[in-house]
Amino acid sequence: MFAFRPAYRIATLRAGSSLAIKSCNFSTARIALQSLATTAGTEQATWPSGFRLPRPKTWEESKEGAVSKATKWFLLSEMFRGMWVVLEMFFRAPYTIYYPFEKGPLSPRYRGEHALRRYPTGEERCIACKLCEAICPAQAITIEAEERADGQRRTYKYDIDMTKCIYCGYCQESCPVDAIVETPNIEFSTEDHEELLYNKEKLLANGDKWEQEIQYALNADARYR
Amino acid sequence: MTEILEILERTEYVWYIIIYILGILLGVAYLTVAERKTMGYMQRRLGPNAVGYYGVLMAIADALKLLVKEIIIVRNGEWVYMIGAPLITLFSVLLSLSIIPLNTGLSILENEYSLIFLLGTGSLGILGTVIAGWMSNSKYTILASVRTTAQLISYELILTTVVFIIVLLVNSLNIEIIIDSQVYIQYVIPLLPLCIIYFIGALAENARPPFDNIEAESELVSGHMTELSASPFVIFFLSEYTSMVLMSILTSIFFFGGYLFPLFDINSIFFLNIFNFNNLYWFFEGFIFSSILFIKTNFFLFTYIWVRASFPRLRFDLLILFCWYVLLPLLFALCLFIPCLLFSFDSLTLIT
Amino acid sequence: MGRQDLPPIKGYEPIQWKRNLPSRGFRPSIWLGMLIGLSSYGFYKLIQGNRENIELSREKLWARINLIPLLQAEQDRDVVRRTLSYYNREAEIMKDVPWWEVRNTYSDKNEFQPPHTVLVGKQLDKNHGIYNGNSRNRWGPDDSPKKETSS
Repeated sequence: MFAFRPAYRIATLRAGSSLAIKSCNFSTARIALQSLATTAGTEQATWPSGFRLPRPKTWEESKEGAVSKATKWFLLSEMFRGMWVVLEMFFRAPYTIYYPFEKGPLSPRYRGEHALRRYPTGEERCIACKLCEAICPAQAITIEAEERADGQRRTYKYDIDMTKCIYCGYCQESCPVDAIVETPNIEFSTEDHEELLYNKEKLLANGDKWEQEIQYALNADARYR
Repeated sequence: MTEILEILERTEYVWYIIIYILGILLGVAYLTVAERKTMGYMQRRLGPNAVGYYGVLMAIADALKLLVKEIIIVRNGEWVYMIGAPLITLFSVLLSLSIIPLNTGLSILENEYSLIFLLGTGSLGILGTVIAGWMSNSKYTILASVRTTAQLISYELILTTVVFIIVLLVNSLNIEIIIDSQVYIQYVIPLLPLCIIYFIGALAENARPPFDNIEAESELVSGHMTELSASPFVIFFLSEYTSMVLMSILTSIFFFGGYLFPLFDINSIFFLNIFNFNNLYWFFEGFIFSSILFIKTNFFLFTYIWVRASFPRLRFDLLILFCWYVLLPLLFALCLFIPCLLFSFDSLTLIT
Repeated sequence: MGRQDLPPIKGYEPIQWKRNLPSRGFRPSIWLGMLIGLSSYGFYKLIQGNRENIELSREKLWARINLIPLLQAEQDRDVVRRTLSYYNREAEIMKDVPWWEVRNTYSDKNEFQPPHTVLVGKQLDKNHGIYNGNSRNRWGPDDSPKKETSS
């Protein structure tokens, strides 16, 4: 019954004389649980008291008689208890919501359809730095850039393939000017596959449509980004 | 006009059978919807609720979908049995339903040996499983059907033994006498463990959870129903639910008194003073008593669904072990004990 | 930056991480006692009901026993009528045959006896010729069918 466990033996050696040895119920090892004050600096974690369950009693040690066990076995006591729980659940309200008419709550960090934002003056934010294209794990973003007529660095092609996108939000995190963002919108299903390969106009239009929502989300969440 | 009435009166039996079977099949169709909704509420979600008001038209939608689907015919197997095998099962269940009395004397077939008939036709349904597995011309379906058959015949022994014990108490094989002798006490009260054992046997006989390795097999490799696609599958499906209804009716007949009032003995006195035995009286009496039978049946159907929502599946060898090593010895012990008990109190009815 | 998002000052409430499955219900021996009690009550009523059924079937049996003389008398009247009409018919048919006596062929008693068949039982049928008879030994105790003789 005395199985030696070397790690715990080291622990008992390491801790000093101010150990409050609380032997747990697990009697096959000589574990000493340290009190919280003496664990500073050690890599041994402190387990909460009563963490280990006691060793299950054998049939000789248990106080339950044969008649009790036989009655519980023949009359299916645990089964009826389980069935009673199910019946209680039957009479409680279901959790289902009527989706198109009732929707569940979404967090401001929710990642849905993509959008390209603009500055308050109306100038588009995206400067074709291609950080989002580089970090996208699914390589869903395709960017080609050229100097615009007024000399600014802007893209002339910014495609996101929404069917390749995994909606991870890395592009949103990597954008230095906060141009590409993910709106909380998830209801953008289409009837053709081609419609889901978004190009720049679609993304910009998304941005204009969802700007208010994006702004609310940013107000709630920008402190943590 | 009078000729039409005469023909109606002479073929009255046929009309009775048609109405009865249509009623049962309609009930079975709505049982599918009721099962899904009940299981949903037990799992704190809604069942089907979009098709009609509260989902009542779901049965018709399911039936239409399955009828319109393409039937894939097995060419190298025996495609004749594609319709034949499920029909055998459905036929046997509907045949068993024909001897059930809805009121005294109100059944399609009645004779002194109707219980033997019931046990016989109950055994016929297994043949559909065997044939369906063999028809598909695939090793896996044959294996699956053999396993299913093993389960079904094992648990049929349990049902037969429980029925045998009931017959020991009553000394008659007539179902109406079994119901009538429960006027004094309904057999669930002396024999509550037997009622539970009968219910477990009925669950396993219908291959319902937690004994539904048949359905599990069709998820895994293939069950005996793999090659059956649309219409034959509908017939198997219907026969499974009709068998469920049959087992619930039998449980309520053997243990809960069938069409009798649950507790007190007002069965024959209730209506006599009020009406003067015109047709309206017979209609009223038949309606009341068959409603009692079906309310008791509904309780057991709810328990079928309740048990389905509560327990996981049994492994197949544990299932067979449960039957042969646990239930059957227990039942044989009861078979020895109960007649001795009755004999020691001078209550074995040996004269009919 | 604004203020940081820190945990509350007094800390969080303690979390329950242990299982909480309290043992509910009566002791199993109490459930067994209830089952035995219910079962005994049920068997008591069942046995009473069976005894009443026995009395009912006894009454039915005695009613049938008491009806036997009536039915037997009716059958006897019927047999007598038919036998007498049989003899009358026989007399009518054989009235031209002088040596024919209209009576039962095998009896010489004067009291009434209807025409009856020979009783065979195993004790009377020593060779089992009739009791175990089949089409092969219908004509005699040996097993072979009788050969066609010119008779």
